[in-house]
Amino acid sequence: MYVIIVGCGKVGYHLTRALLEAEHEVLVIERDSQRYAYVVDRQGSIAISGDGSEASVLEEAGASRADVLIAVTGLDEDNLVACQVAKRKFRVPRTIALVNNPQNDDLFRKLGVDVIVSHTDIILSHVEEELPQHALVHLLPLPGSKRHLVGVQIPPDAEAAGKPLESLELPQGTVIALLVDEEGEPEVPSPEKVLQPNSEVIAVTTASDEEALYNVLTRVAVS
Amino acid sequence: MNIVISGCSRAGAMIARRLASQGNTVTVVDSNEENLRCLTESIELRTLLGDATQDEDLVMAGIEQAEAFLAVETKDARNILASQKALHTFGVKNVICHIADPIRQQMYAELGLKTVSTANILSDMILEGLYS
Repeated sequence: MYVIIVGCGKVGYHLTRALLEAEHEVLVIERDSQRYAYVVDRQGSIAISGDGSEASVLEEAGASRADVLIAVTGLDEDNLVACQVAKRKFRVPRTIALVNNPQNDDLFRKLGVDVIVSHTDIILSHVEEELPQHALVHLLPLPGSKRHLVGVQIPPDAEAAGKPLESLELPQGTVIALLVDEEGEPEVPSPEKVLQPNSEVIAVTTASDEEALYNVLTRVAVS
Repeated sequence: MNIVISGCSRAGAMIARRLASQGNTVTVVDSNEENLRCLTESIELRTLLGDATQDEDLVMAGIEQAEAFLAVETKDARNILASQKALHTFGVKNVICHIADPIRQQMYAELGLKTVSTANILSDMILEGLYS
């Protein structure tokens, strides 16, 4: 595959190395002259210096024969414009953008960027996993959909504990995908299955339904 | 009309003053305090120290009530991101985006933005002056 990488900071540099090792044809576009010199020094002449969001620079990079363009600069505006110019002017079939500000996820998707990698979300999900008193853990965004996979632990005193799954009033469009019991054993979430305290529910849901799902699963029973 | 302008360049400030003097309510956003100093605030003309590519700063500038958004910062990519946000996230009807690079200007015009390129305008005017 011919891959163009825009931005050769830490992410871009290691990505370049990994893709070269996997024997892809890689070209890096870097605006900063020091970083450009660094990558050429270490990896050979696989880079051009310039602004990868400019059409003339992408043309020089041979964007019209690229299979993928990956924009990983620290600036969301440059990543967006590089992907849009690549797609629109050079018909690059696949564009991938790093999103630094998670607010921009939806807009980038709407504007035609094929894959969005949000490093804030990735770090956040790791932090959530490590927190003992977590609320709802974001496990994985589902590509090409507004839904994502989340995990919720059932508190021992929750109203839902001891109830069959079919009796739960889940938000529409939310689906329970898996149950994991206290020992970490996975179970198929059939409707008659009874929710055990301290087990974990893995579900597919949307950002707007998260809170409702969390409430149904963790609300404390009033005695 | 409520208008939000991103970028208090010489052109940005001039547009802001003219629109305010015509009775429009104008908010100018710029992330550089120095740039904003050339404008005197009034009832019609407000300045905001902020980043027009950030949702919350656009909201503070009143983008939700704005009928027009003008992106006239010096960096093309920032104007392009802010304009597409105004158009697609906040549904502003009239969005005008300054893009210096003529190739990108044409491309984004095809994508539905109203675009202005100083390089194009200037070269047209100079050529016109040359041949007239």
